[in-house]
Amino acid sequence: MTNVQEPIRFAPLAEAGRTSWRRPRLFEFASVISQIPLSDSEILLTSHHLPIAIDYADEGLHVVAITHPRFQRTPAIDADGRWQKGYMPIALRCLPFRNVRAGGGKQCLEIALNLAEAPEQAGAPVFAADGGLSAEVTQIAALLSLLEEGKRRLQAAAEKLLIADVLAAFQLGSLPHGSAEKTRSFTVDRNKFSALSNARMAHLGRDGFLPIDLAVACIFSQRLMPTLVSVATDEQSGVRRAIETRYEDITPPLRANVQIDDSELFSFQRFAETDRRHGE
Amino acid sequence: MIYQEQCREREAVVYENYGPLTAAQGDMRIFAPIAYAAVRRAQIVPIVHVEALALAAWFPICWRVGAPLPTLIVLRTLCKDGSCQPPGSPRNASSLPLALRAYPFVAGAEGEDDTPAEILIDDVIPDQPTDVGAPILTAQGKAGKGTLMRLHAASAFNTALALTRSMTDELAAVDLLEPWTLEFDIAGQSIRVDDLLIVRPGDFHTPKIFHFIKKFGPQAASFLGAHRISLFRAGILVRAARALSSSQSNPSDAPQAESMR
Repeated sequence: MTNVQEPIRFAPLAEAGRTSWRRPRLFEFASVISQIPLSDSEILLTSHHLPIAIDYADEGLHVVAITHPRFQRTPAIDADGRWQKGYMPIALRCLPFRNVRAGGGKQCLEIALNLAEAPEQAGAPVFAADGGLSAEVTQIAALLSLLEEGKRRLQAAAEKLLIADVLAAFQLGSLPHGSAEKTRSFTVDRNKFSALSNARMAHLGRDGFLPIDLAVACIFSQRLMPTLVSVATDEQSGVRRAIETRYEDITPPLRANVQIDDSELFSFQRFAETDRRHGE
Repeated sequence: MIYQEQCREREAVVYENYGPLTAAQGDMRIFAPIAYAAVRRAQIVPIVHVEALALAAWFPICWRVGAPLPTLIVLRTLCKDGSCQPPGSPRNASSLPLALRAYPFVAGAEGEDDTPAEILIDDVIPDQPTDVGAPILTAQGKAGKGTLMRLHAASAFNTALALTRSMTDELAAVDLLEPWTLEFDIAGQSIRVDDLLIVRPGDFHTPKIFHFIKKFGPQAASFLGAHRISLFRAGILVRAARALSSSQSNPSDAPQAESMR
């Protein structure tokens, strides 16, 4: 089994010298690698189970599902290393394999060298009798190719959100003196998103709905994070907002002095209008 | 009377005996939402767009075919008797749509032109009270805390209703809705929910959606996104129905469902 503090080491399949493979049953390593790349086809489903973020690394934007325990309201992995969420992203399901872009843009299938929980036991064959990939590894390779295409589409969608200026960094508010630590991961600031003009929002989704899907999935999945995580809003306002989807957001506290007496029933419309004015 | 007219949202809730709240009903006691059978058992509940993102974590958000136009709703279960809701519903308050949070007050009350809307209340007796409840009015003639919470939910619903309807009507007018057929074989029985509509998935990259968002703005974008996310909850409804069927063959595992009591 891999040391959970040790990064997963991959090697090109042709050079790894492995003739058999097995899927990991335990996923402690997911806490260490912190985030899992996502395909556009799984963004909506993933948002039900894991926080979605846009990671800025290597001069590019990468849409990921966060698996780090600090960002989970309920843990993704239990104490025994078992996966706890109702959905497992494609990249995790395809382990121990991954696809990387080699020189010239060509895709290269790699295998993890330190994920096997019982390396001495034989697993499924990597290669078929004719020397090509076995049927199951061929399927995994095809799925990983689709993942790469989906990642690129999500990257383009994330760039649109960046250009629209609706992204904000996550903040971890557990530091002393009430200060907060900004992460390099972004989410969508729902206030900024809601403030876009109709025309700008329409153009955000003009060539496809994916940028809007991604934005809403980011906002929707914020509820899966602990309250110590917040969204870094405009620095000039100095406001740090906890990320919750709550009914209080759509039903502001009532301040009207509502009274029903024998003379007349109070006006529901006036009640709503007073309520709305106080909420503004 | 306004409340006697057609209201597509009210038709979608199982109100039993509603009418205007009168001063004489000030002593009437109201109870926690789940004390009422209508709150626990409603299979389909009308919603407004502002609650879509919160409810997408619980139920599929779609439309129910109506005459003349569809109604935005959540589908809480595949079972007509209201059993087999997702785990946590309806006991978890966050699973309750505004219309059920307002119960027994009626959501969807509307005034005619400049006429203020009346407060409507469903005159029902809770079949599973969890406590002694509280009167609608305090001894001082003021609305109690429970009353205010419910009126607040009804107010939020009514305030958002016009825009929700406008968006629904536009989606129907430009032919963006298509039938959503839910039919599953569960324990040898065919379970089917008819007359549901969703936004046609293939149209999300078309100019129709562009014009829809241009007309209604960020609220429409967020609402459509929530609709798409919510459809994945249909799988949970199927799983909940299958769990009930398997528990029927093993009664010791029976979940808390009306049909099992």
